[in-house]
Order: sequence, then C-alpha cells, then structure tokens
Amino acid sequence: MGKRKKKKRKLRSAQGSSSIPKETLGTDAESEPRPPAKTKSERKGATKARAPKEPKLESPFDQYFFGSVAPTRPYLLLRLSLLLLAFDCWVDLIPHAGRYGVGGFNVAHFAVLEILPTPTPGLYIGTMVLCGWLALVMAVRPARAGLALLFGLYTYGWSMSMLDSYQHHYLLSLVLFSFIFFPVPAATAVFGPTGGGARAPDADLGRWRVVGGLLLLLFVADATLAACGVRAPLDRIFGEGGLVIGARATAILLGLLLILMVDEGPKSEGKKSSAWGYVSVCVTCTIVYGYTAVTKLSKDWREGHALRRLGNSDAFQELQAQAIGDEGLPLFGTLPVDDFWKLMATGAILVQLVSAFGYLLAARQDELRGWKRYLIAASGLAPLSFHLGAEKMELEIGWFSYYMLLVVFVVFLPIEVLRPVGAAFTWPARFLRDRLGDRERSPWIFLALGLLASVPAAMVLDLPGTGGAAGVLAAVLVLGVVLAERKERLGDARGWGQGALVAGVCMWVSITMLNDVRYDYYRFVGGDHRRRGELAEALDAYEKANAYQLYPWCLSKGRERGECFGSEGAAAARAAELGEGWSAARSDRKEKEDEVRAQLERQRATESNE
Amino acid sequence: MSDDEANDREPAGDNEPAELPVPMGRRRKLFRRVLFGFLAFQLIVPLTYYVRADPYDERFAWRMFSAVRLHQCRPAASEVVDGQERPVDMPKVIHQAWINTMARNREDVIRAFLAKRCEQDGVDESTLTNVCVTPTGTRLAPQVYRRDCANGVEELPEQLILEDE
Repeated sequence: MGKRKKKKRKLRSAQGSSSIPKETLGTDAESEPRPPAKTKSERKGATKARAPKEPKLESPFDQYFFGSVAPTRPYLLLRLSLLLLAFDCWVDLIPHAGRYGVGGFNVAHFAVLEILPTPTPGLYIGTMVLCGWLALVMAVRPARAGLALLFGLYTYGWSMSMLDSYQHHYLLSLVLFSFIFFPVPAATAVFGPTGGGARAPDADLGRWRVVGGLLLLLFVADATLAACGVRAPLDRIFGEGGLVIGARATAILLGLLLILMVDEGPKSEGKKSSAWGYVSVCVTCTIVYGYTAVTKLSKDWREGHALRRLGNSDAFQELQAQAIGDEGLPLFGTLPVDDFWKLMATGAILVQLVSAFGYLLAARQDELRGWKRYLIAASGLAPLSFHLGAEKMELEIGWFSYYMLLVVFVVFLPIEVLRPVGAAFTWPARFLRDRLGDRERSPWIFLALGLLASVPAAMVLDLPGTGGAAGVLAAVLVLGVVLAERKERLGDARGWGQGALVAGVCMWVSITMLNDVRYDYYRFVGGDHRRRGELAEALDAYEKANAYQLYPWCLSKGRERGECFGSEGAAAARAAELGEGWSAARSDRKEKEDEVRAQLERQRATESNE
Repeated sequence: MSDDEANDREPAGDNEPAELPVPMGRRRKLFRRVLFGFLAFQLIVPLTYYVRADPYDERFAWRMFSAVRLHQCRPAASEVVDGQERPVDMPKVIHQAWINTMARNREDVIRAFLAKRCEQDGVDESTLTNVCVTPTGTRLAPQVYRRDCANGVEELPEQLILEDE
C-alpha cells in the first residue's frame, strides 16, 4: 500500500514536470486532487522556471510528428517487424536466388547499380543471410548505425535486380529508413522490470494483465494465421473444427477480460515519448493506401474485371457462388455475377481509403481520449479485412500481408490492450535481465558466443555465398563490439553479442531444420539448368535438392497442391481428415534426378563413342 | 548548459529512456528537414509514373494489381542472322523469371535483352514481340521492340491506350 502511494506521488510529480500536455495524461492524473491555486506571482515564477523544458510545438506539422506516442507502439513495431524480416529473408527470399546472374544477364532497378558486379546466386544469398542476421541482432539490441546498415543492405538486396519487383520490398525499405529514427529503449525501460514474477515497485502492469496479454498474443496470432488460410498451430494440434474456433474465441475473450477488468492500477500507459520515426511509418502507410486507392479508380478495376481475374481462389469462388445463388450476401441479397465483382471492387477502393485516413489519424491516437480513440482503433478493421482478404485470394505477394497485419495490430489496438501484449512478449527478456541483473560481464564473452553461433551456422548451410556472408557478419560484429566497448556502451556490446547468438541459432534452425529452403533453392536451380540443357549442373542440383528435402509427402487434389509433411503417415492422416478428393503422395525431384542422370549417361556414352 | 542545449543533443547513451522529450533547437530543425525530404520523396516518386512514357513500368507507383499489371502478354523473340530471321528459344538463353518480366512489357529489361542478343556472333537485328490481352479480354496491338545490332538503333512500340474506357 505504502509502495502504491509512493508511486502515485512519483507519477504526479513526473506529470507536473512532463512536457506532455495534461489532457493527454492517464485517468489517474485526473482523479488526483488539484493543488491549491497559486498566486499570480507564483504562477509566473513557475512558468518562468519551467519554460525552457516546455517544448513549443506551434506548427501543426511539429505537433503531428513530434507529439507524444505511447512508447509501447514504436518498441513493438520495430522489434516485431525486424523479427519477421529476418525469417522472411531466410525462408521466403533465399529459395529464389538461383535465377540471379543466369547467362550473365541482369537489369538493376537503378542504373547506378550497373557499375557493380552482375548479381549471382552467391551474392544474393549472402546479402539475404546478412540481412536476416542483422535484422535479428537489431531486434534484440537496436542501434541507429546497425539499422542504417540494414536499410542499405536490404535496399541493395531488392534493387540489385529487376527480378525482384515486389513493391512491398520498396515499402519495407521506406519503413527501414524510418526505423533508423525510432526510439530504441530497452524492454525494461518501456514495460518495467518483472520483479521476478511479483509486481515490481515501478512496474505499472500487474501479473494478471500480463497473463491476459499472453493469451491475446498467442490466440490472436493463431486466429490470424487461420484466417489467412494457413494451418495454425491450434489446428495442427487439435484438428480444424468448431471446437478450436470456440477455444480461440474463449481464450481471446478471457485475455481481454483479464486486461480490462482486473484492477491492477492505471490501464493506460503513463509514459509518452516523442517518436517521429514511428509517425512517419504511419504516414508512409497513408501514402501507400492512398495511391493504391487512386489507382483502382480506373474503369477496369471499378467494373470488377481486374479483381475477377485475381480472385480465382477457392474462398472467392465460394463467395461468388453464395452471392449469385439463392442464399445471397448479407445486406445485398442475391446479385448478378457482374454486380458481385463490381461490389467487391468498389469495396476494395473504399477499404483502402478508410485505411489511408485511419493510419493518418492513428499516429496521434495516444493523445486522444474517449470515443475518438476507439473510433480510430475501429478504423483498423479496414486494413485488417483487406489483408486477410488478400491472403484468402492466395496472391503471390510473399509475406506482405503478414507485415501489414502486424502494423495494423501495433498501430490501431488501443494502448490498454497493446501494452499487456507487449509486456507478455518481452517478459522472458525482462525476467532474464532481472534475474541476471546488470552484472558487468565482459562484452568479449558475448562476442565470442555470438561468433561461435553465427559463423558456423552460416558456413554449414551449403548454399552459395554463405561463406562470404559468415566472414562479413563476423567482421561487422567484431567491429560493432569493439567500437561500442571503446565508447563505453557496454550494454550495446553485450546486446549485439547476445543478438548474434540468437540470430545464429534461429538462422540455422529455420533454414536447415524447419523449412525446405535448400530443397526449394536447389530444385529451382536444377529445373533451370535442365531447361537450358546443362545436365551435369542439373544433376548436381537435383541430388542436393533431394538430400535436403524435409517434407517430401505432399497433399494434392487434382491440380491443387496442399501442405507437405515429413512422413507418409502424417500426410495420409491429413488427407483423410480433409476428405473430398485429397490424397497424399511423395513429391520430390527423385524422378527428375534419375531422368537427368540417364540423359547425362547417354550423352557421355555418345561423346565417348564419337 | 541550458536545458535547450541539453535537449539539442542525442538523448541517452547505452540505455535510452522510454520517454524521449520533443527534440529542440537544431535537432528538431534537422529532423524536420529529414521528414520534409522523406515525405516529399514518397509523394513525388509515385506521381512520376503519370508523366513517364512507359505505362507498363509501375515500379514505385503503388499500383498493385492495377488493370495494366493484369494484362496477359506472350513474348516471342527472333533475330536476323546472315539475313535470315530465326526464332529465339527464350528459355534456353535466359531465365524464365526474365521472360515473365518481359511478358509485362518492362521496357528496360526488353532493351537489355535485345542488346544482349546483339552480342552473339552474326546477329544483325534482334526483335521481341509482345501480344497482350487486357483483363476484359481485349486484344491489344502487338508491341514490337527491335534493335539494329550494327548501330544500336532501337525501335520501340507506340504508346498504347491501355484501359478499356
């Protein structure tokens, strides 16, 4: 009790001297009794004394960009985006590296890059390995120089060749540029210490709210994956069905109840920070959605022709069947097929316009109170529905939807909900820090551990360019730690070593143990060599592809391909579960390997006969 | 040192606080300039699409899944060797991903491809023809790109009316 009173006094005093306007403070501040009225001279004196600390944000531009934001948002946006980027580079981008430099042909996005050597699979993979590694190190311990390097590397990664023409890679570069200017506080500074499980004196979140945050984190992520058409972890464990959907909904509801109903102190975040880098990300989203909506005003789009060509996934075909059938669509009833696509296309334009305005306003939502804040949060449903729909349409857009869904959650969720989620996400890191403390361990130990994990992990991937990447990442890490140590930034030096340790392990596990990255890379390479009649190279690639395949048993239904499994039994069980013509069969490149081997033998025999 | 001066520097060292004050003085001016430049860049770059000669180059214009993007084109290459025109087996000379890019009428790629073909011995002229269909099924006039290997002169297609209005 004593502690709580002390804390309130501390909070009040902090608010008194804060640069944040009073109307933006939490509810606790309002319930505090007002101090006795001061005389005119006292007020003058106080104003004079505080004047230099009071930031004057007179122009609307400054108010918008430099005004306060709950530190939880930039913290989570930076860390989670970098985590996603790391795995995106390793898992989704590396498999396509085989097309770089084939026949010595390349066209870069910018003419200035033509002076550099023609990209090769090795250069591309090395860049992506390095990008993923640096993104993960920066997720653990961000620093402006590292974030600037990541921006440069990633931008070079896509701009080196027009083979990568995904617009969202350009968008990610813009976001990475903004990340350079993000606040980079430690988790304990944003969420407070864990207190080893008990409520710490300066932690402003109780344990039940953190538990609620954990439930939301896990089950909203699971529900989002399921909504995107991915087989979510709960579906894998318990099978798809009403029971799992009910369990998800119950867990999310329970999480919300714990966050909103349990009385453990103030619910809104007391801390406010100026975070113009974060605001600029929101404005970037506004610009992107705005332009995308304008593009769709063309007649081809409004009439629904373009969307019709895109929307040939099962989900959209089912929706179309419902719309034109007797059942009809809710609110709209039965529609002729042309009107259905017109409606969908117009809806997409509307959703993008709402998203654009939503992002513009959401950047400042932490300064608002009451219904306005919740209205802005509700506008997040527009981009949420748009990106879930895009995933349902099975468009070939890489991990774009996942980035944008992540941004939606971080930018639009009310802070009283987002903060416990962030607290749950950072709990292990804060707990370890509380337990291990700030002991002055030498950064060289962490450097050694980081090098030991990262360098061998990159070396054993058996992909071109990874040896060079291992050398570069080792040099970057050593240079970073040495410079940080010289500037007495020991926390940074230790953090980068720890980050490199985590990044090395994650890279190795995600590429070699959890995903068919190497199989995909080598089968694509094999296919390309075979098409061009380079049989020896094709055979070599197919042999490697088959050796590295982790999930050879795949489901199929006619021409439709489904999930792949490590064992025949698991695949057959899943096929039986799905029913409706699904079957499991081995899907590898063994036949291709044998075929190419036979062709090569015939070719060699012919050559030796001649 | 005044508070203004203190606030004029990069906050925090090893452990940045969660609450950063509003930047003041020169720092705010610098950040404002960075922001102005960054926002202007983001607003202007997509606009350049609308003044560019090449409507198929939709890079950086946020025209995801535009009607132009959904044109379906079939590229075919040929070259003149010793006065005889012969087709080029594209998958044999270039990666399929580049063929897909050329199927989107990406002029820079097509021109680079034609220049590359001209480097082959005996090639006098290289040509790529794209036959495209709009999302409504309208067949567009063939887009013919040609390069004279002797003097490097390029012949590019006329600009098309791309959308059915």
